Amino acid sequence: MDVVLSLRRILNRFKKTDFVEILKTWNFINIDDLYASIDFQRNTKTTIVSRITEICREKNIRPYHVAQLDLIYQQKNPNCKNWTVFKLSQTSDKNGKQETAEYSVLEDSLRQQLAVFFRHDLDSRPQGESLWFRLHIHGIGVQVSTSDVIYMVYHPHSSYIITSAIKVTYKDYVLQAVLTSLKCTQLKELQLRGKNLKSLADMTLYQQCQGSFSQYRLNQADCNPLGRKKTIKRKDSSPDALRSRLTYENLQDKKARICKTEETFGTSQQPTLERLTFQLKTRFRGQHHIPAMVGHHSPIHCTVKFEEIGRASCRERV
Amino acid sequence: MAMDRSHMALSQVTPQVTSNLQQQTRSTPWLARRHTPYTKTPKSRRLTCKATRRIPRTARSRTVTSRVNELVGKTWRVYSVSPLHSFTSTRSHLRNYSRHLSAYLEAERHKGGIAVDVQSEFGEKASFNLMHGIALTEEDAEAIEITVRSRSQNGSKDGKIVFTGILCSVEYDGVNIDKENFVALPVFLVKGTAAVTRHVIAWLKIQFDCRINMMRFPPMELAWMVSMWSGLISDDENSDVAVVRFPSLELMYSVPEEVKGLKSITMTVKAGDAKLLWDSVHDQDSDDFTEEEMESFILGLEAHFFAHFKINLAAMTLCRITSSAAFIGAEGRVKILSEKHVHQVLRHFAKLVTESRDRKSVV
Repeated sequence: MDVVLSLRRILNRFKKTDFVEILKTWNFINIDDLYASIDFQRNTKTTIVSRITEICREKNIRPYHVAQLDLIYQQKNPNCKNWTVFKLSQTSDKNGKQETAEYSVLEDSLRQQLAVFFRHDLDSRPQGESLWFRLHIHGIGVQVSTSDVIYMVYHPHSSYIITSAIKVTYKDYVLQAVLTSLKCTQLKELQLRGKNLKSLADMTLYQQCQGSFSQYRLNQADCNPLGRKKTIKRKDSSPDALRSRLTYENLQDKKARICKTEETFGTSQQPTLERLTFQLKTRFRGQHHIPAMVGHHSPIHCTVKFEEIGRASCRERV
Repeated sequence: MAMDRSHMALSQVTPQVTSNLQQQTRSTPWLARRHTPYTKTPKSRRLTCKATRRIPRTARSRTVTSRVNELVGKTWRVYSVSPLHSFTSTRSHLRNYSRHLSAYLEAERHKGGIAVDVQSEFGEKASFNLMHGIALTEEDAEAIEITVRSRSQNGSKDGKIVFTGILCSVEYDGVNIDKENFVALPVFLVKGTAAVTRHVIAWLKIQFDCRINMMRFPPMELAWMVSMWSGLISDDENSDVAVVRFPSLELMYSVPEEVKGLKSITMTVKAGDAKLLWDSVHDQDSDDFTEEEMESFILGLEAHFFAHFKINLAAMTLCRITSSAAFIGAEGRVKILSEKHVHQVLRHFAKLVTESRDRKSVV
């Protein structure tokens, strides 16, 4: 019953368009059987969800399958959770690399360490170069709450791990288990938090490789030797009558600005930043307007926050 | 015709001529600018209330407790109210008003078919009370508190409060008001659900023949408020402990929509440093805060920001400020942070209501 309830909860989060794709990836139910009884376009979401739940119950679904479905959903929509980045470090007597990057070994050792502290379910699923863990800690009651489920994304051989929100009561234990299983001695929470997982991963893993250096990482530096070069200049095919009446003021300035920006930041897509906080402790620089501050040399403490609030976030229903 | 006159006025106005013109036409102080939509800010503003120490108004008020601290720490929406016609604050009249308002809310409920407050099933009950401690001088009318509670099933027990409104006046200079028929309570602080607020305001407009408008604070006004109130930390409280307690100076700018990927910029300055800047800007002996001082303060902060980030904050819109006195939002929200500053903040709002009233009478 519990399993079916959590399955239903996970299915309720799906958007109607996601069902077919995710169910195909999941591969627990044969999708052709489903098409026989459900019309994914016409039926309402509640009907679809209840039908799928019924079929799964008949097939005796286990918690492992539900966890895999959940991981598939989270991997598809990673920007719903608030992620925090942790940095792992080792003592100097060991060399910098991890001993193994085999996923099953990592999962087993983590499960072993967690078993010391909690009754739990641990599942994993790789995605690209990273390994996603889903840790469900069995709380005291029967009720499953979302705060008992923790997702962790680990890139093997890197010294970073990204986790979703962990309850304060569990935090120390989970982090200790992670430390021990990955054979590290210290774990530090970085001041890097956000909703966009890909941006966080890019910024931590490719710290030295951002900006204009990203062209090397993304294979943009070398041109394709077999590619054809455009030698003929094509005419501008937009409606000329309208264009001729438009003039661009300070076109030179604009071009210079774009050139400078591309030099510094590169031409690829930038990581999404939601909030950027600067702590300033500098001498006052507005002395032109406040002459009385001219002789004053002690620093002014200032905090500046750039925010991108008000973005539409994906909805999450429990 | 009007355009010709102003055109002539513009060409004829010189600094020497201006004073003559002003003497002739007292009701239009801004002759040259009458037809422009831009508002003129005053040259200087008073920092503190004239009656900084609370003078007991009558012998009776010594025994009545001041309820000023109820205003602190809550987020209010501010409305400006024109003088109320035939409003009396005796107990019997207040009881009458309570009954009228309750009946009006009841009628609205039946008319609309849904409750004024959707969560209460049994209607609402309004009550008017005097609120002591807010009015400062002899001319100020005593503040009135309007509370609307939802009726609970058990008639005797009071339901929860769905609306609180406080009509108040602090050092309001009502020179043009006919004192016998009108009562000036220009600032209306409101906290409540949207539906109930709408109905209460409609009732007040009908009952007392007044105009109630939401007060919005344009960036210029916010700049005035933040510059004036940044210096409110007194020297004896300037130890490290006090500085941690007092919120720092904060300016929040909203970024124009053309800029993608950035919505707001917030600049926070530690309280001690803000006080230092304020002291260097302001002439310590005077009680007035001039426009030049306000300009230097804000421009100094913006220049400091520009030196680090090369972003011109003057191009953004100031939408929220925090000073040691209050949080103020441009859409008319205010949260006063300590009891000491309640009167200053309310006095300033009353002044703003006067200025906007004068501006409207000119146009």
